[in-house]
Amino acid sequence: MSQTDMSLPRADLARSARAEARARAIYRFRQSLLSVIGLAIAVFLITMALLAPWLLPYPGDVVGAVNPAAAFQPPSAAHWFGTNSVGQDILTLVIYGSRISLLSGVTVILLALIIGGTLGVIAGWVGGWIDEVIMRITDLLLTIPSLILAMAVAAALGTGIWNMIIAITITWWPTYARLVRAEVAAKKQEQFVIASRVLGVGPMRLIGRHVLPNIVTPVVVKASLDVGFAILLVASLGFVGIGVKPPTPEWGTMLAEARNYMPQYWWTAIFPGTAIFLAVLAFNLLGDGLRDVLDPRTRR
Amino acid sequence: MSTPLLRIEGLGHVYGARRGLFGTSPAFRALTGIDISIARGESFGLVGESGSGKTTLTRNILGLERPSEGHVLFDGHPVIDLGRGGERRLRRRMQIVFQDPQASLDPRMTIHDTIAEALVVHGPDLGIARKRYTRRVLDLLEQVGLGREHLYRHPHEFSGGQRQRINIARALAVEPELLILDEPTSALDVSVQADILNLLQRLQKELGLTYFFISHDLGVIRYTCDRVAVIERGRIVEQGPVAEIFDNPSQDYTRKLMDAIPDPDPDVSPLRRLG
Repeated sequence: MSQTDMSLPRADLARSARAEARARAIYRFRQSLLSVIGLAIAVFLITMALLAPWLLPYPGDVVGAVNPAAAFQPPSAAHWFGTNSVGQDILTLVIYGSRISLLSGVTVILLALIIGGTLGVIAGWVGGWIDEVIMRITDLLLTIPSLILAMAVAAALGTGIWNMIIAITITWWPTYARLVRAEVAAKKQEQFVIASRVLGVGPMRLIGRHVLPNIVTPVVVKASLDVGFAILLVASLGFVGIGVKPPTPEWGTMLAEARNYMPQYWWTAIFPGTAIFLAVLAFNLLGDGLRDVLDPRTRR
Repeated sequence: MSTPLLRIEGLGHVYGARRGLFGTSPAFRALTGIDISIARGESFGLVGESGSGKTTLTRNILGLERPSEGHVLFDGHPVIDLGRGGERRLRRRMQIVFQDPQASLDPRMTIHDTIAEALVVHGPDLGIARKRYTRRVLDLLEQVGLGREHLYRHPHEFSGGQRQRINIARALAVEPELLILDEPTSALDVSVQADILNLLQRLQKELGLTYFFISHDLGVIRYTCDRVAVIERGRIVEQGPVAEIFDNPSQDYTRKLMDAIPDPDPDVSPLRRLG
């Protein structure tokens, strides 16, 4: 052992391998025009939500200011998206509404991921009767249509943004529990996990170092697709009147109100509707793009 | 004779009956009355068709399954119910190389991390300081014919033969006494098979390893092993020194397996005989 550790290839080699892998991933992502568009829209919406307080043309409108004299003005230079039945600027409401929609969409998915993911790992790894109990509860919740269940929970808890987030999370975690359980149970039987087990690696390290990193792809892809659907569910709850209450502007609620004034005051519906459409589309394209990047089966 | 390194006594394994919604699936008997004894430093071969119980036997030897009957004794001690510390000690002394070299490597880990994991688990017992892990990994790679340029690559960047070398290096990292080789060459090209077999023979000589060599390929067994057992439907039907069994098989089943060895001479190939 006369050689010193100085001669060893270390961080520099590791770093260049990682950098190369990252460059390849970015290349693959950019190859797909649609996923770039999705990412662009998502970034745009998130920026808009973060900067909302400084972007609003009529900040007073988001806290309930009304101006009946200016009701139902069509789109113009002063009101790009027109005004609604009480004279509020629709552009202002749509911009501020992005905060509610994105915040609740992302929060719902994160909470669902934490709850469902944890239960899924336990069920898939431990198996036996614990698996049975967790999965039967999961199946039970999955048999109830999510909108109906969310409506029931929201009605029981009362309205408000956090109650709505809790309601949707309750309907959503079972899908993650199911996905994660299936992935963990499959990976547990993989030869490389057994090989590490035979090597003497303990269960926590097996899960943390071998199982979880190898199931990240389907979970991340599902999560980014689901943010879009969660935004849609938030808007749906708003639309049926159980979501966020006015004066807090929310896209679904705005759409519900606009329904009364169709078709002559079309701008009251078209702009919040377009916002919902764009948000859902963006996260769907983003999810598809991530699948292309992360899924090893599509790698060359 | 001293205690055999691995001793299997009357081992039987039955996969339990499952009661399902649509009736009960019957219990399945995978192994019956297996008696094998492997001495230190020897190469013991196990031959059988797929489905003959080879995998179940391996899992029982590794202590991953609880035998229904009989015992597996490693150096005189049972391989199950050891507790955390006892299990770790056993893992250090007995390792396995699986058939599919790709499936047995974590696709997201570099080769360095894969092999170093053995050191992370057993480092204190092996007397290797954390600082020297990379050095040790490099030594192991060199031992199996790989170099430092492979250190930080991922499994998908290697060929099948290289991957199997990595698996062997990982198994050797804990300095085991017994190496179970579960069809280590059957997923490889014929030209690569010979390289791996030569590597295994060299390592056995250098490190004084004991091999438990599982294969359906009698040619491979004849080349590597001292003694051989033939397994058919969960039972050992024949057991003895390789030369004896090959020259004078007493069982129809063994003869059938031997007939399946492809002959390099096309005129005596089984395909020709069919035509």
